[in-house]
This record gives sequence, C-alpha cells and structure tokens, in this order.
Amino acid sequence: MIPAALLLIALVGVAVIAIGAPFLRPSTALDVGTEEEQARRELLERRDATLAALQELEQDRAAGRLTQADFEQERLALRAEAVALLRQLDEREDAV
Amino acid sequence: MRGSSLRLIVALGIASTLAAVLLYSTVLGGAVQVTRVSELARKGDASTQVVRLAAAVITDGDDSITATGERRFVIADTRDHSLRYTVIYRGSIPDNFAVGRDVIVDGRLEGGVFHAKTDSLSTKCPSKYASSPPEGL
Amino acid sequence: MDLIGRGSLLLAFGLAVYATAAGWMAGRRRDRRLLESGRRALLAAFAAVVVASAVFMWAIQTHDYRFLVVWRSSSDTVPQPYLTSSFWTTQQGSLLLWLLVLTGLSALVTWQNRRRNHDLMPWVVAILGAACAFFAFTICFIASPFESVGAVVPTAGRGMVASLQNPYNMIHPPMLYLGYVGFTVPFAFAMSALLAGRADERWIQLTRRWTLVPWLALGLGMLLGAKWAYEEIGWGGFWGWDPVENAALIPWLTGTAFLHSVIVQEKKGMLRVWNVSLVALTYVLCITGTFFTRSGFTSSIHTFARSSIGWWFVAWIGIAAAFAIVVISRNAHRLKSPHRIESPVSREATFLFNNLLFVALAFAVLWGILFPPLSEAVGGHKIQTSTPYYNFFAVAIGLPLLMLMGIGPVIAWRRASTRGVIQAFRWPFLSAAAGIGVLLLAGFGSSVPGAIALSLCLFVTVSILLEIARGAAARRRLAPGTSWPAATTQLVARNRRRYGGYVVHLAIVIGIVAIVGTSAYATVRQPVLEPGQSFKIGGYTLTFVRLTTERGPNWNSTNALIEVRRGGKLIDTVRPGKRSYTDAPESSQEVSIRPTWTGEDLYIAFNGAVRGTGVNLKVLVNPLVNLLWLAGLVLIAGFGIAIWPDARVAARVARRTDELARTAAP
Repeated sequence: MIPAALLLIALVGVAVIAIGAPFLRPSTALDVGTEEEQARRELLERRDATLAALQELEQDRAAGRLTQADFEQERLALRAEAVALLRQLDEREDAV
Repeated sequence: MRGSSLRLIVALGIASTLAAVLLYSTVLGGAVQVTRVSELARKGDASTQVVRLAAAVITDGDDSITATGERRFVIADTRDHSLRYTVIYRGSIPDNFAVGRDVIVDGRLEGGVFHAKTDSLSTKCPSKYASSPPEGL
Repeated sequence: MDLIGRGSLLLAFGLAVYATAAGWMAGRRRDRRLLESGRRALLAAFAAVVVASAVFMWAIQTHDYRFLVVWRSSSDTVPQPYLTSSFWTTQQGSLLLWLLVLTGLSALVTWQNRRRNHDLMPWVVAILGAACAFFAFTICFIASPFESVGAVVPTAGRGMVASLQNPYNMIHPPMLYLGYVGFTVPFAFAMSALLAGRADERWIQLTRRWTLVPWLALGLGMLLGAKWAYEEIGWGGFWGWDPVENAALIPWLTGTAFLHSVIVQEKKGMLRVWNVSLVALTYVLCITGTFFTRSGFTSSIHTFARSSIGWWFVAWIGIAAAFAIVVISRNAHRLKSPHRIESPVSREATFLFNNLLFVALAFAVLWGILFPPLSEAVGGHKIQTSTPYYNFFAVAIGLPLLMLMGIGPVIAWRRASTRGVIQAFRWPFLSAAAGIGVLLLAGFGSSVPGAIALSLCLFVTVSILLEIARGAAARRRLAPGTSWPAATTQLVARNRRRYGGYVVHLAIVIGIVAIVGTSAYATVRQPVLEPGQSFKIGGYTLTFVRLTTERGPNWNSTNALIEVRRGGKLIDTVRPGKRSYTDAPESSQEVSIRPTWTGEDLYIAFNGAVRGTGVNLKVLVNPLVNLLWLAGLVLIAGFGIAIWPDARVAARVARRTDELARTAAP
C-alpha cells in the first residue's frame, strides 16, 4: 500500500515537473507566420500544383491518353493560370 | 457546365438516395417485423404468413435429428415459458445455440407446429464480438 | 496495485484536460510556453496510460481475481496467447486499449511537429487532448478496469468466451482500434487549420499518412474479422451485415471517399468545404461505430437504456459534431475555391460522383442499424433489417462505384471530349463486353449482378493495366533502350501515390471477385450421414467414417472423421467438429477448410451428431474465396507503395519553404 502510494506520488511529481518546466523559461511568442506569409504560401502551393498539372498533362499526352485537341486546350488553360499565379506572386514580392 | 447545375445533380443524387433508403426499409420489405410467441399464439392457426419469431429455447433437440437432417426443438415465449411451440428445422446451428438462449427463426405455423425456413436460425446475441455483453454497466 | 492503476488513469485524465486548456490558450495567446507545456502533458498522459495498462496486464497474467474484470473474462486454464488477448475482450479493457492507442498517437504526432507548424499545433494539442480526456473520463468514472470484485475474492475465474479463443482475436480488435482511433489525427488537423485561419492544402499534406494508416488498419481489421467469422462461426460466409461489422464499414466508406476527394483539393483547390466536412463526418462515425458496439443500442433500444455508457458516447458524438459544424460554418468564407467543376465528364466530376456514392452507401448501412431501434421506440414493434436490405444497396451502389473505379484513373481533368473518351476507353470497354459474353456462355448468367460485377472487374483491370502500360511506353520513348520492367519501376517510383492507388484498386477488384464468387456461385448441401455413407458435391466425394472425440487443455470436442475423394482418389482426411469448453458454458465450431490453388474452398462444418453414430454436416464449395485473403496482401503492397516517402514531393515542399523564408526576410 505504502510503496504503491509513493510510486503514484512520484508519477504525479514527474508529470508536474514535465509540464511546468517550460514556464521556467522566459516567455516567447509562437511563430505562427503573418497573414502575408500565409497568402504567399497559398499562392506558392497553387503555383506548384499548376506546374505539376502541366507536367502530368505532358505525360498524359505522351502516353496517348488525350487527343491532341484536348491537350492543346487544357495546356492553354493551365498556362494562363500559372502565369496569373506567378504575376500575383511577383506583385506581392514587390510590395514587400 | 455551370456550378449551379452540378450542385443540382448532387442535391438530386443525395435526395434520391435518401428516398430509396427510406422507402426500401419501410415499405418494400427491406426490414422484417419480429413477432413474439405470444403474438403468434393469439393469432393461432389463423396465421399462415411467414414470420420472424423471437423466442427462448426450451429443448435443443440434439437427439431428434432425422435422416434428412431435420431437427425438432421446443421454443417458448421469452416472457411466458408456458406458451410453447415445437419447431421443425433444417440447416446450420449457431455456435451458442443452447437451452435458455433467445433465438430468432423464420417460418410458418402449420397444424400447431412451426416449420422453420432452412438456415434461418440465429441466436439473439447481437454480434460475434459482443459475446462479452456489457453486463452491469 | 489497483491504487497505481486507478491513480495513473486519473493522472492521465487530468493531464489530458490540462493539455486541452493549455493548447487552447496557446492558440489564443500565441504563447510558446503554453504550447510546449500542453505537448508535454500529452506525452505524460501517454506514459501514465502505459503504466495503467501494465498494471492491468499484470493482473491478467497473474490471475488476480480481486479485479472484477479479470475474474469475469479469464480463468487459470485459458491458454497463453489467448490469456493476453483477454486484455481487450471486455468493455473496460478495450476502452483502456483505445485510450492507450489514442494517447500514443497523440504523443507521436505532437512530437513529430515539435519544431514545425506552430500555427496549427496549439489547436491540434487542444483537440487531441479533449479526445483523450473523454476516453480517460469513461475509463476513470464509468467503466474502470480496476473495479474491485468485492470483499470475497473468488479462487477461480469465470473463463473466456469460447469464440474469442482464436488467433484472430489476437490481431483483429487492435487493428480495428488503430483504425477507429487513427482518424482522430486528420480530424484534429483539419479543425486546427480552420481555427488557425489556414484554409490551404497544408493540413492535407501533413496528415496524408495519418489518414492512410487508419484507413488500411480499418480495412485489414474488417478483413481479419471476415476471416475469423469464416473459420469460427461455421455458416460458410464471412460477412453477415452484423451491426458490429457495419459499424467499422461505415467510417471506412466515408474515409475512402475522403482519400479520393483530397486528391481533387490538392490538384485543383476544389472541394475544400466538402473535405473538412468529410473528415469530421468520418471521425464522428468512428465514435458512432464504437458507440453501437458498446452500448447495446443495436440489439434493442431498451438494452441501451440500461447501459449508461451509451449516453456518454452520445454526448461526445454531439459535442464533436457541433464543434465541427461551428468551426466549418464560421470559416466557410475562407474555403471558397478558386475553381469549379466545369463538366460532368471529367476527372473532377468522377471523383465527386465516387464521393456521393460512398457517402450514400455509408448512409444506407447506417440507416440499416438505426432503423430497427428507432422504429421500435416509435411504433413499439420489433423490426430487423437483414441481409437482403444490405445486399440490395451493396449491389445498387457498389456496381456504379466499381465502374467509376475504371473510369476515374483514365478520364481527363477539367473536361473530356467525346473523342478523348473513346480513345481512352475503347479497349477496357471492348474487353468488358467480350468478358460478359464469355461469362454468359460459361454459365455465369445464373446471377445477373454477379455477371455484371465480374465484367466490370475486367473493365477496371484492363483500364488500370493499360494505364500502366501506356505510362511505361511513354517512359521508354523518353529514354530509348530502357527495358519494360525498368520503365514500369521508374514510372511507379516517380508517382508512388498514383500507382500505389492503382495497386489498391487491383486489390479491391480481386476482393470483389472473391465476394462475387462466394455470394453468387457457391454450392451448399446439408447432408445427414451414417458411418460408411458418402455423398457428392462439386466434384468431391465425401465419406463419413465415424465420430471421434478429442481433448484439449480446456475443452473436449466431438469430431466427424471424413475422407475426401476427388476422381476416385483419396486426397485428404478431415475432422470438422464442435468444442465444448470446460471453463465456460459454451461451445465453438471447428470448421474444416480445404483450400485449392484455384482459390476454391471445400468447407465442412459440423452441425451435430445424429442418434449417437450419425452426423449432420454443412458442406460448401466456395469458389474464388481465397482471393479475398490475397486481396488483403495486394492491398498492403499498394499501401506500401503509396506511403513510401516520395523524394520529388519532399523536394518541392522544401523549395517552397525556402522561397517563403527568402522573401519573408527583410
């Protein structure tokens, strides 16, 4: 009974020390990034997705999954999108 | 295609599934009503329909199996063990079929004997896993 | 002993509550110390649950009948591996296992992200902490594994349920729990992304593996359960649409839908609201599933009322659902997609239809569970939904899904032209048409859905193989001189996720062929035989020799000695039987299953002795059934390919992070 209680107290003690220790350090703010960064991240994600889609489109054509007409149409659409995204990214960079 | 018409397709798809599920389960016989022995006894020989019967096992009929694989066992109402019927049954016997268990069996009353459909016997333990029932909880 | 067990569980509960509060405050105040402290609280909670589990396991191994649960679920005579598995055969023990897995996964995922994603992690810690706190609460205060048996300690346990003394019980429940519990992580990340105002695709990339693993675990768990039922229950099937099986199937279906729809979001930025809703739905359905299996709700609404733990689960389901609805609706404006689906004949639309069908099937199965207790509560009549109800929806929704599986991987994104469709689908379509002709000629027309399903399987297989062959051919054109195997390997390595997915599709096709084979084309006979008598089934001749008896550590059995002949030649002697356990008032089937290399099983179950010397058997010839277990192996292979780290994706992410850091610096 007594050793069990001691063991339990030790467990609680270790837990309290573990969760209390971070408060011994000086307070620092969490690096959550700015709204600007977040917006840029989203644009970069979209840019990468669009470039990957272009690559995949090339593969699809090479594999003969698409007709030439479908390929041309889709490539134009994706290119336009990629260009628009790159422009937006540039504008933001200029603003920084 | 406009986004709105696609949304319409989606909405119609969901609505028709809901309708199909509700209709099938309530009207079209996807679900079967379970009858008690007492309810069957009240109707007596007037009952000629196939019913799904919930009952308690009184004898397991292990010594009654005939050359054609028929087994005769006795069941009773789960609340009133004096209301009894003999069941003639062929087919697989669930693992935990035993005297005292609650079972469910499909069939029809003919001349005071319950003629069960082949393989329709199941014990009422709801699941193969729940064999440790949450008793006392 | 019980003091340490109870104490450490209480400690875990306190730590989980603390983690919830600390995580939430860290998110609101953006305080690094609070996040660190909350994260450590989850780690410590895991450690405390490990201690409690060790105590419980010790009590089981030493037959410590002072514990009510140990006394009720085991005995001195239960043989070894099964004794260990009695850890999770009780309500209390399985909740403890659940908490162990949940705190373990929480500790792991917060540890992985200790230096990353600090915008999301406070909320992740809070949500995981809350989930841990709920389960710790139920174990501490409602269903404790450390409950005392009372003043008088019994000298013998009540024994273990017979059908649980089976190798599958060693692996099947932990596997299911890993699945059920695992979906907590993607749920937590999705909600955290919204709470942190991050509507982009990062949470999906972060939790891709955390979604694949529980999905696989749930799927394999069901497969193992099917194998268990096949070998143990003795009715010759492996899936009975039992509420407990359905409880695992429902979140697996919505989880499968989710795995598909996230692809659309990652590639096209579409379906954002749908995806967060779907992952929340899957989590809620996981909890609902475990609620069904624990509360007695499925057998009758009246049993449910007697089992108080059910109400706590209902409360948690309500809280989780309400939380998800509030978080999603308050952030809906952030989730507006830059694109929309342009044509119903496109890959996006195919994904969407696939999702609708998966969710519809999940709903039909869910309604099959909910309807009987609800109608009993409303109308007072007992109602059962049974196999025909489920089979109807499995066929009506499953066949279109199967067809989409052949279409989705091949059809073009955005908008497919008629010519493009013809070009892509002529060979799969022609082979399916030829296939159905051959099937009809070969007599498979006895089941119309069966023949349709088999030809659709052919359609999917050809379309996938053609897809791989086209890809490999393109690679060979790019690099002349590459051999076909090398080109295929490169192809798969360059896009592991896509081709891993195709292998999983093949596994599903194999599984469906098995299901069709057994459900539409099996032969069943139930003969009664006297010693020396024979009977024929599906090319086999079975001769019943005599009844025998066997004895094990805690059981006695009656077996039927049967000689199996094929073409007049003795090929095997089998002894199906029935065991009665000496330490539990039950019996179990010992089915004899004789597989062949064609995938067919000769399945013999012992239905009882007849007048002392005869025997009543149930014999099935199940064609193709062994493909189901093969499907499990292929599934694991495809999963392995898909989850293997992809260097190119990692490089892309790293470059993006670089770019961000470069431009952020002043």
